[in-house]
Amino acid sequence: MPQISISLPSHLTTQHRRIVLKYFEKTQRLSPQEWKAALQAFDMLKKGTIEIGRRRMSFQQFYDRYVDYQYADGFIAQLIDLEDFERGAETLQQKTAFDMLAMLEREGFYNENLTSCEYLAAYCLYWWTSFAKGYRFEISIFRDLKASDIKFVAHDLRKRAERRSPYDLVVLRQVGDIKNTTYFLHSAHALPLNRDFYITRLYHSQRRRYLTVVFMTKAAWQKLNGEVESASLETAASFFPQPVQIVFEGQDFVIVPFDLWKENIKQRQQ
Amino acid sequence: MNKSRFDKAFASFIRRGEEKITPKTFFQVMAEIEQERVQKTIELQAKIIEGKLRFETSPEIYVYDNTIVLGNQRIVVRMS
Repeated sequence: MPQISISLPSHLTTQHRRIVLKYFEKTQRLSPQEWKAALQAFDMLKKGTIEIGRRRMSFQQFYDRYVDYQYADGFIAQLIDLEDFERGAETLQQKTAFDMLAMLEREGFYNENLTSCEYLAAYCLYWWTSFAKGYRFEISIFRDLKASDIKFVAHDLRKRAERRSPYDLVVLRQVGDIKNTTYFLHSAHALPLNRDFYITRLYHSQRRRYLTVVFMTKAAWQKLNGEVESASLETAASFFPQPVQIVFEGQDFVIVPFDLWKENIKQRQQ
Repeated sequence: MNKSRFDKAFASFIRRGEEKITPKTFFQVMAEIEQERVQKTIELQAKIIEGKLRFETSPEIYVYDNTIVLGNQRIVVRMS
């Protein structure tokens, strides 16, 4: 077996490492500051490196080769073919995550004697979970849009190249992405929010269930003749689930319930 | 490394499923992200002189005519 060694990015602090562990142990106890630090940490970790014999690669390259290429296509195909989507998807996601961790152990990438390998495993699990939850959510949204008779054009999830297209769907000439909540926040942290709309979801504590929402530019909402009240980021949560307008990094965005967005889309499409 | 602690955390994370991010947490994290990115705000004054935009000099950043020099970048603001 080739010799394996791992190096973490030098700017990954002890605090980041502590928060990576807390993210997996007690996600719901993360403070907003810790959430931000966790998003930072998982972003930094992509520049960690692993040397396998003479071959050196970043964590990101390792993930593509050993996780994405091995598991992604099969996972998506099984997900799309599920008869009982809600129940089956959760089971499939859990099974694949455990299989992926077992593969890391079996191949010698995650074991007691390999320094810092827990962060490689953490990186892989974080991104695999983002991927799996993201596509579960995306498939459920596509099914909902079809059932609601919304006309849209979407990328073909079964094709790797199309999964990496710059956006997920087009509705009324507006381009949008469908993102699981954590991945939406990761995108807001790492990239400019430059789509017309993002479909994501937030957990409604009182109703004890997720509510799907559309986070969109004010211009995109105005094209749908939508009305909205303004709030700051500090007060916006109190409006939920009513439509609310916020300013994020100098740009106006509107967050509206998915059902209301669909109603306005349908009116425009009729 | 405490592998058994990570093993336990990973297993719990996988079985737990969802993060249950509430609107309050969502907007607070957005505010944190915004605060981190905007380290400092610099206000510039400008006038229209003979139809052209002209920045007033600033003690905080180098500007001339319709141009802002920021690090190794030159930002030229044109009126449409």
